[in-house]
Amino acid sequence: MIKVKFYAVLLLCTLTSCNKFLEVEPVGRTTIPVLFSDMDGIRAAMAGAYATTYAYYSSHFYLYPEIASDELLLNLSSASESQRDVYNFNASPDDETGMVGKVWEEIYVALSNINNILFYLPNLEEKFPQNKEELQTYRAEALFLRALCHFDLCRVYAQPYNYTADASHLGIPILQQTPGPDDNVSRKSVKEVYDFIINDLLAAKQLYTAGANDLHQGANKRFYASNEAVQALLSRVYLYKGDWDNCIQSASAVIAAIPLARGDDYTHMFFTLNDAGKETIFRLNGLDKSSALLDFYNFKGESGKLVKPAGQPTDTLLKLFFDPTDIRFSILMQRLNDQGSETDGSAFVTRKFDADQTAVDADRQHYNPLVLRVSELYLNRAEAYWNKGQFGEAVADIKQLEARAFNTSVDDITVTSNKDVLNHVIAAERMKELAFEGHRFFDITRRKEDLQRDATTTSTVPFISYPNDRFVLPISQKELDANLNMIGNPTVNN
Amino acid sequence: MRTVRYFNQLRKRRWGLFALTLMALLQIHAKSFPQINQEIKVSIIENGVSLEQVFDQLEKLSGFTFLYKKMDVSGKTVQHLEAREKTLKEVLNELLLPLKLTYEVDDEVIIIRNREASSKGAGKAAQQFREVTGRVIDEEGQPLAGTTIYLKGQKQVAVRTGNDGKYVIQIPETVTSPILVFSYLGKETREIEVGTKLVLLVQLKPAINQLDEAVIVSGYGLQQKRSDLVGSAYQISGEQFKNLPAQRVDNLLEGLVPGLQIDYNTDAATSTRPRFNLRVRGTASMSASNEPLWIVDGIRVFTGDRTNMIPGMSTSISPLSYLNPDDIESITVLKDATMASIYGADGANGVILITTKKGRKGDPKLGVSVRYGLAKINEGTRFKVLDADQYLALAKEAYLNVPGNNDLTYFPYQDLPNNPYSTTSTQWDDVYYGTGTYLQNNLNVSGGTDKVDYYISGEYFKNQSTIKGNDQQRFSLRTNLDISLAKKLKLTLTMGASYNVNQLFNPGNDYYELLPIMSPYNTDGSYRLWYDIVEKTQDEDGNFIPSVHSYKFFNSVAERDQNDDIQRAFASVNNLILQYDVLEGLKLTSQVGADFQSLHGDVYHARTNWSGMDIYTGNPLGEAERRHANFLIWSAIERLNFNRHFGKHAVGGVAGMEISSQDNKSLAAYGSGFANDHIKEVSYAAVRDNATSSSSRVRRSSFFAQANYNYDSRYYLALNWRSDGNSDFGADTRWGNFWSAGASWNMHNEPFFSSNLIKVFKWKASFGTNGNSRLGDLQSMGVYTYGTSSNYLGTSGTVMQSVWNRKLSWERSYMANFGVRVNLNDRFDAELEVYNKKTVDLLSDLDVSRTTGDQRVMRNVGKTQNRGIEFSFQSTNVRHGKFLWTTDANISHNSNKLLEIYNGISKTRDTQIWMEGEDLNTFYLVKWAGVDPRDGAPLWYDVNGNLTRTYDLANRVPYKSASPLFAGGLSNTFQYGNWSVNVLAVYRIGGYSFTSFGRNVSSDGLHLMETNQSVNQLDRWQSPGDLALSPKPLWQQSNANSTRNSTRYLYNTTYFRLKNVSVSYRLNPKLLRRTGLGDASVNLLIDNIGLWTPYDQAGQNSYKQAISGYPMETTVSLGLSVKI
Repeated sequence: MIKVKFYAVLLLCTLTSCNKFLEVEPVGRTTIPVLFSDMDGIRAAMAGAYATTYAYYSSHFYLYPEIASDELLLNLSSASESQRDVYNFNASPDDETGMVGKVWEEIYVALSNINNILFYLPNLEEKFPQNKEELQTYRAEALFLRALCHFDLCRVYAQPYNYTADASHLGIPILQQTPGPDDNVSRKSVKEVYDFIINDLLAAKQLYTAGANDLHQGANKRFYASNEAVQALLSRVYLYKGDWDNCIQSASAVIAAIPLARGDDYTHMFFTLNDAGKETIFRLNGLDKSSALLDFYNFKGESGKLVKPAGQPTDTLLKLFFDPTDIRFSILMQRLNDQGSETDGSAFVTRKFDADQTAVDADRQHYNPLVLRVSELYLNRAEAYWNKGQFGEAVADIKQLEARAFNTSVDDITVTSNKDVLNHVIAAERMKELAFEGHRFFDITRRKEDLQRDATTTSTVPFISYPNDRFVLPISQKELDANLNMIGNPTVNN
Repeated sequence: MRTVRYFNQLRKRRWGLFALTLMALLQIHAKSFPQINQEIKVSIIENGVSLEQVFDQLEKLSGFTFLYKKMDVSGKTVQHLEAREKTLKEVLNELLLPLKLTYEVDDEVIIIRNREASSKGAGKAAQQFREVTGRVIDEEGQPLAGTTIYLKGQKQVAVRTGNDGKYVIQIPETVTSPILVFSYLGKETREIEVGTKLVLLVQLKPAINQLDEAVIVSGYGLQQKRSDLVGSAYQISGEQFKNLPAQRVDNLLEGLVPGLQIDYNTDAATSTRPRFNLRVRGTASMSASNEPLWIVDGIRVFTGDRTNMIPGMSTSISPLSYLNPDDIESITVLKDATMASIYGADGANGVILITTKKGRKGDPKLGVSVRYGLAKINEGTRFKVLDADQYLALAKEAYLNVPGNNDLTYFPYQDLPNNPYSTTSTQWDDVYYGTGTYLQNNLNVSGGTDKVDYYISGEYFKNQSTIKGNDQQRFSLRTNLDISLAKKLKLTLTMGASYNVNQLFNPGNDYYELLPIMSPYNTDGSYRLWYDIVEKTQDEDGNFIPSVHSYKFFNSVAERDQNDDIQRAFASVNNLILQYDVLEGLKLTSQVGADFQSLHGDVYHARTNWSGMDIYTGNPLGEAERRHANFLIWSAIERLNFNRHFGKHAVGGVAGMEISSQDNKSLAAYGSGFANDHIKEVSYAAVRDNATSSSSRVRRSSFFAQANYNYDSRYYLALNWRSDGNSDFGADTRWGNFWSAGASWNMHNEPFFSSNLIKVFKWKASFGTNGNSRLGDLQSMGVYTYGTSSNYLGTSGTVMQSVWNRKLSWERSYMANFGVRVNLNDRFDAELEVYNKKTVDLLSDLDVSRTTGDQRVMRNVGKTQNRGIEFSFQSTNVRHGKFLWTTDANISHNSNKLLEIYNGISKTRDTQIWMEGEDLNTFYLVKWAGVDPRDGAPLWYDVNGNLTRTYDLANRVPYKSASPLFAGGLSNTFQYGNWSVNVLAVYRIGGYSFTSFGRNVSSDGLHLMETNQSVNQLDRWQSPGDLALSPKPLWQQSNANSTRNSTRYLYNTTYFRLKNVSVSYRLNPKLLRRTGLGDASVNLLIDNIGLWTPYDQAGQNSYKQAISGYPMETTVSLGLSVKI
């Protein structure tokens, strides 16, 4: 009888603990609900969100608007097949491991990390009221990053906002939370996407106004989202949208807060990984990580020899620097044969990615990609003013940048006030200032311009007129196969 | 008097129980059993002892066995007995007469009867019954407890032997010339005419072929006779594989089980311990495991992950090699839903149950066996490559074929001081292959007393591979104990442990790829690390001149001789089982078991060869790697088994629960930079980094039940249900339910069925579901991972590694099985089974919308179907006097079809494709059209079937499949007296294989500079009009992509392989007795004698040479086994 009782007890014990028994926590990894159950988890997830954003900024996404543009000369022998295809406007939907697939995939990786944070924030806010401020800041940062991801995706895979009068053309899916494998999200119109982006940014701005943003101070502040970053991105989004008043308003707010960097402060932004961080509003930090950008623009070979990088400035860009004392030419450009290794005298390279590397290990050499800096806001505002017909204000903004470029005072600069010429001047200034920083091709399409490459281009497509189906990348075939609700882009997906 | 009352009660019930109870009344005295003359003389002096003690003494002295009823003898004492050198007869007469007892002598048994009782009994019961007593022993003279004895023609008159092998059966006097049938699991059934005898001593010999009455072991304490089987299960007894090589258990099953296919997991020389793919009734799953579930003594064991890979180790050695095959009583393969759905979630790929040997009541029995053998590579399966002269001739021709190469001035392989190429001729096969050895020593002791049964064994096994630098050693121990704690409580302990030392060296492709004009040694005898060749360079004036350059020679011979790669493993499977007989027919069992494996790998790369040197500077470093992995699966099972007969109704079943947990842990450390080659421990390395560790856990929890019923052994019904929970799956779908129903009909037991020829005519059918959950850990949860790439600005970060699929659940198989079995006169027994298995909700690693943040996600999408037919038979072809010839054969066909794939999009997988409507193993290749006789260029067919000279992946077509049409095995046994010969062959018809062997060494010149070539390359295009096998070779150039994947490298896999021949001779028992041995036999075994393929041609390579990456190993061994 004793034995029977013993069995009964044993059976009962095992039965009751059955479901609990099946709860297993993995080691070395964390399941999503467990990760977001405490503050340490969300802190790590925030770092991860920035790390994944860095990941997409440090490779294909940052190169696409350069390779597709008129300011970059591609060295066909060292470029990848995918890069050559983009250069020749021949990108294939099957290019899963190159730009077509990777830009899409990498941004969505970042987006899912960001959306997971936003999904679990309400729980944490309820659970940790004492950390309310910190969590508010994370919410603002995540909203900013989510807006950035949507904006970047929309620039690559959708025609610009003004492509149709009401922006009703195909945009990208809007993700308010990470979809499950069977959710099969579909694309929304560009208007809806922009509304969503602006909505996120305004919500972030609201949070910053309410007092969030005490977490990252000093030189490191620029590696995180901030009130200024939100305003700066808003200014750019409004510019793309053609909402001039709001563009001017947002730009002015940032310009008032952060001055332009001059002289060494300016060049250090490119040459030093740990610069003082003046002028920079938001850039991503690649500490301990590798960077495909470095490889692409690297012109330093073994034992001090200079070599031709995969990407070089075109004549189109170089000719804009009519005065060689322009800091953006004299310091930020270099002629290869200055050190006697190349016979091609006209070969210039950009030094924007020539940062002094602190790590010996190639896997840890990196560049901190610039996302937002004050100079762009002058250019945004100038363009907005011009569109509003306020040419004087536009000229004043351009003068600020020119004066910095020649290390002189604004008064020494003269800029035309002729409407049409000024339009070109603003565009040229934007090209000179933001060269290789991931803007050019988007600026061309946004401004409804044709793409005109110069005679020395190595591309098979020297000219392509606006509007054009080829101005966007195709949606990857794998995405179309896996998600039947996804629609491909016309022409390029056929 | 109490016993008499008991007796009467039982008589009202069943004969079987009646007999069993009677047996309990008999005193147990099992002693050794020598054959002794009845006239033997004994000397004995006893005073005032019990009669039983005297019998004991006499048994010892005479060797006779005394049989008596306890009630006849108890209480009787012998006041005085004195005998000196008297015959047994005289002694017995003196002893028994005063006690009113009588005796009969029959063969080796002396039966004591009560004189009065027997005469009275004769008066009362003579008209009805005759009592026959006796004893049943096995071929070694040991008692066979549980032997069924029945009267032929009246099966209801049946009894079973007790633990001492003794029985008493009552034969109705009305039966004239009664015949008793003796049957026992795994033994040949004997029919003996009783005649007028009252005592029958019966010896049963092992039945290798006769599976008729075999008790099929299935899960959770369920077992049934084969003729009672509703489902599909196939059982192999230890007897059937005792003469097969003992390296690993899975390989033992090859060719023996219908519907079980065993293949190498790759045809490449990637490991000297190749992994096997085992498939029960075809491949059903795309991403989850297709391997069957292995259960040892009731608990699941770890046999590697999804593809049998051992995580954490650099070389995967199958845990199935850690088990001593000699300890195995039987292996049962469960195939259909009725048998396997009680294993629910993991039963879909079939279940393989291993049952280890147990002790049987009786005196300790010692068995010793020794086997020693030698092995050589099988020449026929050796991949043939060019010799030095052939190589140089082809190389030069290919060199000159390249436009612009007009003479051999810059030909790289010109004689140089350190490399006399033209006079070097290295047979790399001889460098890497040698003579293997095979040594197996086994010792076991088994027996049992009335309280404890035991089986204890020890083994030492050593196998030195023909590939030099490889050996396997196994030290194994086993203790299986059954202890009766109380009348109704039994404790079983099974403990098996082994320590395994595996020395590893993998020559990779070197043995056939290295150039015959190179030597592993320099001219001074040291290991070659450099070789020199001639190259075209520019001198200072810009003129081209030949100059000498040195290149690194990655000498694997030096690596073999100087490096270490040793894997040590401790493995054990232990079980503690407590069984309580609650009521008659109702048993409560609780089992706790654990499978534990602890693996340790030592790898050291010496400073004296390139593997341990700085690859750029050539500085000696020395590299050490230590790996450790632990695998633990523990299980606890509680179950209630029920088994009762009510008249013609038999009811049985089981209900219970099981929980189990599987933990994998691994740890590795690396270090490089050692002062010398003796240190080797990572701790003393100059540079230590990259230490890694990992761990994972899966937990399972299940409830299960089975109910079975049969009416009069004619109509059978079996129902199964299992509910499984698995921690790998999402909370929403964590539990899965599986069930099955089966029925069978023993037509031969119907009253209307009367045939003297057909002994068994059985129909069976079943249908049910099974699951498959074996994926790897926590795929469904959505996990965040950590690492440098997720850190930001020095802050530790985490990023999502896999997306959460809450709906991820079991893969589910629906299996239907239909079978028919016919036994003709116990001479021919054939079974035909047809099955249809549809697997739905396939666990598939599929592309997913990138908007999820992931590229691939495990999902339940897709359907596959496996349909097949299996036929097996056992036949006694000739039984004439001392000669016996039996055949055991099986053949099976499986056709596989992918019914549904995600979004209908075909998926290319290297050389194969998953496409709806096609076999899962369908190849997807450009069709090769041979060599253009005009210029030696390669030709292919485009999609429209037109010849093309351009290789284009767009011309790939689904073409042929790796699945064979038929596969099976054939085993023949010939016995003549003490001689016995068994021949086992396996075969396969149809099916194709894409061999990676064909690539680098059939390169039409492309890799000719670095790798030796297949002899097939000699049949090359040389001049217009040549109908050649290989295109025109071009030195280091691709001849229009001729070597890219095409049907050129596809081979038909039809083969016939003579797997094993054993010749045994059993030494004359009479002679042996003089030496004190019970039984002894000598056997000669030859494994892997030969392989035949229809497309093999002398002087060419085909599938035969490319099956496993290495040539087959032929082993010849001689063994001696002795039993005492």
